[in-house]
Amino acid sequence: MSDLPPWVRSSTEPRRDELARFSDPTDPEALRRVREATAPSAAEVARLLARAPAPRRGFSPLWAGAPLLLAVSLLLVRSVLPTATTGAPPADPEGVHVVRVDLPWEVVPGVRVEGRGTASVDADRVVLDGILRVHVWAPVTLEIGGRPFTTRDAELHVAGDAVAVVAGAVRAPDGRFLVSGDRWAPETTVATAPLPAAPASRAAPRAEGAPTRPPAPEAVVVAPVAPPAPEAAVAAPVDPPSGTPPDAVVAWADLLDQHEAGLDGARFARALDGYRAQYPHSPFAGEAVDLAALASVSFAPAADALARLEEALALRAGGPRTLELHTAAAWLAREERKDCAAAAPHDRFVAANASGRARATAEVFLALCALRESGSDPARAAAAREALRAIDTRILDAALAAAVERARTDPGHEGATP
Amino acid sequence: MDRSEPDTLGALRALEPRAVDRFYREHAPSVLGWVIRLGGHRLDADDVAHQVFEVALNRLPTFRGESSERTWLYGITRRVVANARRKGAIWAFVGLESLFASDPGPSPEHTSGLAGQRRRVQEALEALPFAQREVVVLLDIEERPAPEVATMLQIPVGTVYSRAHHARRAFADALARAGLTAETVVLAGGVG
Repeated sequence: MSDLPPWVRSSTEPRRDELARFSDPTDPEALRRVREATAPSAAEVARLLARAPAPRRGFSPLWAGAPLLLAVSLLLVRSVLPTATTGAPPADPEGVHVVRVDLPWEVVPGVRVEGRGTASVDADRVVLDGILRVHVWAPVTLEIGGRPFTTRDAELHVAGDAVAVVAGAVRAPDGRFLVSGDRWAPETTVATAPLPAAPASRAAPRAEGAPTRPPAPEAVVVAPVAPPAPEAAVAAPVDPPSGTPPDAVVAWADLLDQHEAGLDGARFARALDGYRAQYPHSPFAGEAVDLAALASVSFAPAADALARLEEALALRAGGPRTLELHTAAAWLAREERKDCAAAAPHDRFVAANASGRARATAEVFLALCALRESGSDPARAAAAREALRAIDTRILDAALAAAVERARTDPGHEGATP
Repeated sequence: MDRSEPDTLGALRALEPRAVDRFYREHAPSVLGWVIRLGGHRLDADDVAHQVFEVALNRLPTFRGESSERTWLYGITRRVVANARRKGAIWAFVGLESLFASDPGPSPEHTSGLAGQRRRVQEALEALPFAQREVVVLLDIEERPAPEVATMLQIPVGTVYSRAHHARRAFADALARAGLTAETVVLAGGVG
């Protein structure tokens, strides 16, 4: 039981007028109508219920060991590739992402970053640099300005080496806990002459074992630097962050700036190709390959765009954009070149690696193509129709669902692309 | 259903059809609602909700029941929604949204009537950072108790209130900018 006298609490209870200031600005009636406007309709729920996915058949005791096996495998992989993440795959071998406002990135599971800057994973921490908004919902150590900040749930703004906490709690390098509204910035020293040295009691407490700076020969004044206001941190794009990032990183950020300013597909692809030529060993060269290949779909002749996509797939096998590259390649081969056989390898990849409608669509095209290519082989045609019957047409778009129905029932149907 | 009873949990982990069917029917409306409200208008809510259940069914054999089924499903939903949003962003980034993204775009059919209204509300929600959007959706729109929201988001109750304080003001502003007031928002006949 506390030894504090009761008046300590009673004298610090919020007053009625103070509580009144924390009013909910949302109109309750508007909120109720918002709720109803975004609630799934009865028809939507019925449609989802009709698509109940089938659980795996043949439950085996081996399932009990699967998670353990997976965990051991991941540990083995991490021991070989210490900078690999178990969340989103890195965009390049060195795991550095250039973060953009329109491409928020979940750097590791539980950490998402938006804004302008860079994010990377180094051993057990996420290294951040730039003007960023960071959302954390899993235990993590963030390295900001070379200093560690730990949290398991928070929203914070980062500007260079300064931090402002919007929500949650963050442990600062000096051991203090920062909560909503708190700001943190490293101490700076300004050499002036002659002034008495700052008393030791005024210096911010340092974590045990943290390096200390030797005082300048002249007197030292400790002046904390205020970080920018949280509201301005993302809204006002600024020059690249403090320090001197590599030229390749600056150039990549500039290129994405130009894209945001309105480069069309062709010019964007040319800029990406120029970047690769100038910085062939850049951590972003691979992403430049992927984005240029995808962008080419919008302007290049189908054969050229398809060649670029397949080149990107060959160069970047297993990369983070592989599914999108295959999706685009399958579409080009089928819709633009009318060559379902050329689309088939790409559709197979999508069918094996996508989910939901994307997977079902790829399965349909594979079956329709097999039906078309079956020619006079009744066994192949029968196998293709069997595959079509197994597909749930309720999740397909209407035109494709109709094509499937026709192919299922019309013995003379050649499986032409709808 | 709060925590799964031992018999129910065992049946779920064994993927017994009746248990799985009960699980699906009980939680489908909630999952679909979360996807609509958290995922924004660019996502095909039906498809993403289906993906959530595909993931859930694959993981049910390892579900230990330490959290409620709803909390567990919500964790899966936010991951699937985040992945779907990121993939959708790539198509928009390379200018291929019209070919490969599920959102049909602001055609007249999708800007008028109830569909258009839902889109505008979703855009107002998207004006919030994801962490604030979650709190508005769970605490205010779905009216779940703060302790339950804290459990679902795995954050302290105080953080729920803190985020709600910032989120409500931002959401009120976003609704006002979208011209959505009590008078302009009409009933959609939703189920919850």
